[in-house]
Amino acid sequence: MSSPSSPQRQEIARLFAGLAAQLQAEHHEQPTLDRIVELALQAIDAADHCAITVRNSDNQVTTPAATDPLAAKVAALEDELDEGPCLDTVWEFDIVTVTDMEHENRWPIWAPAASRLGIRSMLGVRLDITGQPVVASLNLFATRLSAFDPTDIAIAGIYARHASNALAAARYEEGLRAAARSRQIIGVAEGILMQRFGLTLDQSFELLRRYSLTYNVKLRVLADNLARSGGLSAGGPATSDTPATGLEHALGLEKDTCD
Amino acid sequence: MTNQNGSVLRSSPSARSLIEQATIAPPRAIANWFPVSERNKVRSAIGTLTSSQARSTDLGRLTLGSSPEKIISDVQVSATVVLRLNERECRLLWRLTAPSEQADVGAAFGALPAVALRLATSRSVDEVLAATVDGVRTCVPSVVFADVYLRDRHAADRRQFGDTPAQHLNQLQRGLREGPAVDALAGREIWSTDLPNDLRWPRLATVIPTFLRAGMAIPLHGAHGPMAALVLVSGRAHAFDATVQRAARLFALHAGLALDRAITEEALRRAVDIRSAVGTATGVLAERYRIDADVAYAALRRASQDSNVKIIELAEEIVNTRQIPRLIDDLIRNRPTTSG
Repeated sequence: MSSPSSPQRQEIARLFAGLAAQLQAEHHEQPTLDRIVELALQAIDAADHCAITVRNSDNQVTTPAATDPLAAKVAALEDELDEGPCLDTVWEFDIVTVTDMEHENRWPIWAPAASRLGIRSMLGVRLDITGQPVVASLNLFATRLSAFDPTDIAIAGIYARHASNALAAARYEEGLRAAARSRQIIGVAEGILMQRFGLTLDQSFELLRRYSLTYNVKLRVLADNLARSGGLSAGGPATSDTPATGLEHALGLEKDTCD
Repeated sequence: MTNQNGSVLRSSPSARSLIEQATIAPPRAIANWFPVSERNKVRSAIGTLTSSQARSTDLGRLTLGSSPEKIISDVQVSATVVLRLNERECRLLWRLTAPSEQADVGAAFGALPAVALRLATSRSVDEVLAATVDGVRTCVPSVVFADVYLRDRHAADRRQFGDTPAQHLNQLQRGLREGPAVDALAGREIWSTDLPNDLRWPRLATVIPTFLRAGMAIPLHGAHGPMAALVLVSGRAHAFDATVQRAARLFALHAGLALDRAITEEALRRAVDIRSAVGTATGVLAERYRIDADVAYAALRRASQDSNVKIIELAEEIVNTRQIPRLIDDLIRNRPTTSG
């Protein structure tokens, strides 16, 4: 293989810059996933169907995006049968190829099933999502035998890099949006504690955090309970309570501590 | 010594004062005028120069005799510009900044993937700006100086990453409200074969340092239109041909994507901080007046609107001083109540 000439390089560079722009145009996770599978078919000529497999931080495997029901079915079959190249990609390998589905014996249950659905070859590329506790794979399926040549594999590798960047950015932005929502309610709880017990901001956060750890309840849930109780106890806290039990009540923790 | 090019040799008092301003802090700032590979040499040369307190005329003479240490003597001449700008020195600086060899277009395109990756993985606006200015000279042939011209609302209090002369050009444009970058923010690419002689921006042409010649400004597009313009300058007139323009356009696409994302993320991070502070103030009010958090938040917002003070400022005042501003106190005490 000779290295591409300068005009070819320009052409390839322009193609990928255009794809990167389209991939990053969505600022939410699901539309980004949808766009990744859709544009993959444009970028990699040999591919007929595309699906994304994601392994979350709790090791749950899902197929959040596919170009069509067939692609979704072939990818989802792997989770059902607990074997297949997409799973191997999200667990171990950077790139997996299947050239002839009918005579593939690495996955003795999945490969014949995929073959029966009309898939003859596939290419799986890992999506490394920097800074996120997930692994994903981009799964390209073809109805032809040996559809993917070395050029397709190279292009898929570069495409996967762009797709990973776009996905990482979308997830990060969604995380920030969620953080903005939960930070407000945690802030309310901090403010209540500051005012009630004369604490500093840091101390009030630390108090919440300790309750969260001790009782194994999410900070956000505790904060939510406390914010609500502020309004409900408008007449003042019950005088028989010590400050601590009053607080536990307000945090919604009275179940295990009272009899 | 004959004057071969009037426009290059033109050395108006304003140009002199501009360059003097631009180089108040040598040698670091001056070194930024040079390609990255030369900067360390420049810094040490200027260090020697300033410590020996050599006279500028002596330095000019030193350089004219072509010595084996051409680079160092060139450096000395351009350092002379800081001390005393005259026509000959101006010409020498021009010679220094003009690319002598044919631009390697293939290498420039080959460098793009690595630079694009760095851009795409930059998380803050500062990182993106640094990656843009660092990367553009590798990816776009013939560019000598680069900077990003941000819209006013993004530019405030921002660290500067551009090359000093390009930064300077941008300050001039911002002050005059005219120039290629200002026009590029309308969404069009702007090219100038020779900035000091470009009559589209007559006021800019009179004050621009004369060694800044060919220039281009390419809009960096965000989701809501151009947020910034990539400003590229050469020391040579007509330096940017169609190939350079294509390379610049391609680079700008990557830089624009990265900048757009970084600006969005910065706004979101800021939103997290604001929500947090507003939440805390809401909690303080709720507990203090024994009211529902929603009611406390409504009072805070209302007070912000009535007093035209940002809600974050009110919130920070409450949290930091533990004092409730009079306006909020009144709003809560005199609020219409449905239950008795």
